[in-house]
This record gives sequence, structure tokens and C-alpha cells, in this order.
Amino acid sequence: GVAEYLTPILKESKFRESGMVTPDEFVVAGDHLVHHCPTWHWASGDESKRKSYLPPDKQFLITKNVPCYRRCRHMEYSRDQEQVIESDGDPEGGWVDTHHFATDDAQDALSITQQVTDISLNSQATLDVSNLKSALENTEEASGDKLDSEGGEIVQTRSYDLHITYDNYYRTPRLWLFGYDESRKPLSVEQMYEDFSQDHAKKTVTMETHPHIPGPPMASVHPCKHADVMRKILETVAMGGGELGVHQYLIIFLKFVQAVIPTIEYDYTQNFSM
Amino acid sequence: MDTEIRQKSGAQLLQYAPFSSCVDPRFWYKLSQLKLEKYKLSEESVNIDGFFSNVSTLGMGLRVSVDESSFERNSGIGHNLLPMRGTLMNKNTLDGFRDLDKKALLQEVGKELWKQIQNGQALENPTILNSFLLLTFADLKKYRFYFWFAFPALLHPSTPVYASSIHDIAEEMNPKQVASLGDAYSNIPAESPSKQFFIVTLLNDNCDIASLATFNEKVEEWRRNSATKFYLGFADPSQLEANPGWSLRNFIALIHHLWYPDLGDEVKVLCLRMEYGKGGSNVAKSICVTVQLSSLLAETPDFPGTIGWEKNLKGNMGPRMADLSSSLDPIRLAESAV
Repeated sequence: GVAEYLTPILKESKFRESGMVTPDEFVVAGDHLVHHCPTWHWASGDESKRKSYLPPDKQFLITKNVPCYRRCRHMEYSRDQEQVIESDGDPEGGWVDTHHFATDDAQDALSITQQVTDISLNSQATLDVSNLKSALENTEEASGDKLDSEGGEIVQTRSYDLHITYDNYYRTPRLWLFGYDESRKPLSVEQMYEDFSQDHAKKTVTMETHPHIPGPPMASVHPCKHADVMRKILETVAMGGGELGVHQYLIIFLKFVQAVIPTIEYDYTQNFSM
Repeated sequence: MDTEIRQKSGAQLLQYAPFSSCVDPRFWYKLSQLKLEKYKLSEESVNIDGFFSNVSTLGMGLRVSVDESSFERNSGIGHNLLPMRGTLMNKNTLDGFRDLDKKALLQEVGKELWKQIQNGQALENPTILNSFLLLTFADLKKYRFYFWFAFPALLHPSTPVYASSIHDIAEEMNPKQVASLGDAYSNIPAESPSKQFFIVTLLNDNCDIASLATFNEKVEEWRRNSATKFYLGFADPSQLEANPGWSLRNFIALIHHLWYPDLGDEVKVLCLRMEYGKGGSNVAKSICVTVQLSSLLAETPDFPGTIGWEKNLKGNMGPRMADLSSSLDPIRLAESAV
């Protein structure tokens, strides 16, 4: 938007105090993500929409065909378990951490920190292979010029394409999502809402124009709370005597946006110590 | 000529998991734009890029995707995505789309592929074994896009192909060898033709991956040293235990036509499947198929038949339609923005 256009580019690092990143830091963190989670890659997007403060071949990050095996609304969910992490004078828009028992703000930030530490433990998608229908019936094929080339079906799942762009207004990364159903048909917004945690579906996730790709609006996790959450995580880690480098920003970012899209199994598999 | 099919006991009929198409709506957006500004009334074929992946993700099928970047060559894709060359044929009218002789079109594509196998060009650039056709009609007034993908596969050999064994890579190699294969594979850039079809030689615990063009020297090496194991390999997008992906079909056509009987009665084909986990990628989900070449008819047709039109959602041979009126129509967009 215009506001983003008019906002001056952040040059000096304010990562520690503010949880914000500069475009250069975004690139460093993106390189780190791509290196450690190779299902992610850089994209250049549409030439007419290129941002001059980012390298032409590193405008935003993409991962495609991320499976989403379950609907979020089917997940076990208890209101008692959730807390608003960050609610200073803004009870509506606070970041909600949906699966923790913590009682106060500091505790909540701590629990996210623990989730971040646990990244490598719960990242492997476990799947029930037995409910995959044994595919491809035993039909004689190979010969003849019949058009039908094979029999049977493979049980398919929903999938998402995820993008991370740099938001120059909020000076944080911003997550975009686009989903497909089991038969690879694009999902409607209402269908996609089934995969967003109910507390975020209508307020944190908004439909907006992608900054690098022309076309219809795309679902995006609104970045207004990202810097605050990042700052809290940094503070908590610092209190514990640890230190997070700015290169780890996107790995942590991906871990905490998981609260919004808990059943989309994207890659944030990196192990790091704090 | 001995045309009897000799088949070992316990052999399995080899069946392939087909590719399936996945179209990002931004592909249609870009096509509309190009149609209005550049192609106009031209119905000439356009080269586009799709991409697929041999990273094992259950439930994804053997997906070939196109998006807005498909119209730009070398637009740079991720390490885990493999490019697939496609031909877009956009028709100006629904009649043109419907009346096109689809069978004949596919035969034309097959003929060209067969020629490149026969003259050996396919060895230099084996990625042509994986390709797609995309037939479209864009109804720009209604924001409706009719489309039909084909993934051409040669019907050669004309008799069914049997495998004397289909097994996990763990039964074929020890963990060190599997790790070495994984390392060798991840060192090949995604754009390299050897990422999709290649030769694997194994000596002690060292795997080496080479281009198909080096076939003669690699076979000689293998023959010289009895400790060497020799495999042909391909990037396998399938996740099924006993069904390799569609790409193997054209690969077997090539293997059989160029290298049988030189290779012997059987050849081991590594269906390479990547997986990402802790500590990077591995190829432990790969399978090995022992293909019985001797059971196949040795005939060389002028050109074999070609199949590959994709089934639609109902499982029939037919086109699909994407209705983007709700997301592309400016009037409806304006309404929803209020």
C-alpha cells in the first residue's frame, strides 16, 4: 500500500530492541532458512513489482505443496488451554497461543520459547500409511492405444503454497497462504478458514494483494503483532542467558505462526541451541 | 523371431503412478494478461515450464504444477523442484478446444520423442522424457478456463513390462552406500538433466552418479571390475511402495531401445525418492526395480503409440474447468471489497 511505499527503508538493525528486521537482515535470515530447510526457496516474483531494497533474485520466499492432512477445526481444542500472549491495551488483537496452560504474559512468551526449542522434536510428520488405499488396480494396460493409462486412485490431501515476503511497513516478515483441495482445485477463502485456528481465522488472517505477484488477493497472516512477539521471545531467551541471532529470525517466525495454521506441515526443522 | 513372452516366476506386472496437474490461479491470471497483450489471436504453441518434485510427501500425488512463473524461462526454482518442459496450446474458441484431434496431437509429440531417443539426443538431455502438453481455452469474458493436460508416454515396448523384483533400497545397499548415494544426488543442481535420469555405479561404499551420455564408459567400468554394481536411476515422484512414477515409462522405452540386449536380460532401476528430515535430506525411501528386459518384444516400431491425457475429477477422459469469476472479475472483486 501507500503507507508501505512511503515508509523509509530500515537501515540500522533494531532487531534486539524492537523485534523488527531490516531488508538486509531479512535476506540473511532467508538464506539461513533456505540452507537449513531446503523445501524453501527464494523467488523473484513479477518484474514490475520488484522492490529495490531487496536483491532481484531474493524478493520473497516460497515453499510449495505443503501437505495439510487434517482440518484445524477437527483438532482437539480447549478454551481453557489458551492465553492471549500479548494484550497491552489491545485485548482484541493480541497474539493467541492456543495450546498452553500458561498464566501470565511472561509465562506465555516462555512457552513459545520452549516450543521453539522443541522444534526438532515434533517436526516429523507422522502418518498413517495403512489408510492410504492400495493404489493402482491390477488392470492390464501397457498395450493398445486406449487413452486410459492406469487404474486406481491415490488418496490425496489438501495442500498449501506458502510465501514469506518482507513487509516494509511493519518491518517484519509476512506469511501468505494459498490452498488446494484433494483434487488440486484452489480452495475458497471459506475452505481455507477451516485450516486456520478459529481465533485467528477472521481477525489475524486477511485477504490482500500479494506485493510481488499480480492477481487475485491472497490470504495473509497480518504482521502487526509479529515484531512484539519476536521481541518477547528475544527478551525471554536473553533472560535465560541465551542469544538468538538475526539469521534465525525466520525459523522462529515460522514456529510462532504455526499457532495460526497448526495443521499445515511446513518445514521448520532446524535444530538450534539457545 | 521369438515373440514368446518369457517371464520368470514371481514376476510382477510393472504399473506406474501417473502424474497429476496442479494449476495455480495466478497462472490463469498471467495467461489472460498475455492473451490480451501479447498472443492476441495467435494460436501458436508456447513453451512453458512446469515443475514437479521427487520429495516424498504422502498425499501429494505426482504433482506437476504451473504458476505465473511458468511463462518465464529459467525463472529459478527451488532445490527440491525439478523443471518439466511443457507446451501450451491456447485455443481461441471452445469449438477449437473441443474439436482438436487430441489423439493425433499426442502421436505427434510421441513421434518427436521417439526420434530423439533413436538418434541419441535424449541421452544428452533426458529431461525430454518428462514433458507435458497443456491444451486450454480461456473464456476471458466469463473468467472461465478450460484445460486438459497430457503427460506423453510411449507405448514401447508394446507388451506389458514385468519386474522380477520391486524392493526397498535398504535391501539393495547398506546404510553407508545409501548415504553416499544421497550425497552424490544432492550435489547435482536441480536444472541438470542428470537430476532426472542418470547412471549410478557403486564400488565399495562409494556411489557415483553420472549422465546417461556416459553410458558406454560406465558399462565398460562395470564389466571390468566385478565388484562394481550398476544401476540406471531416475527422480521418482511416486510415493507408492510398488509403483514407480510415470517417468519410468519413457525411460524403459529408451533403455530397451538403446541398450537391450547390451545390458543383459535384466536391469536394476533405482527410483530415487528424496526425503527431508533432521540433518538434511536422504534417499532412504527410494526403491529398486529389477526390470526384465528379455521378456519384452524386441521389435522396433517406426514410432510407438503414445498415451497420457489426464483424467478429470470424475475419473473420465475429459478436460477440467477453472472458474475464476469470483476472484478475477473486477466487478465482483469490487463488491467483496466493500
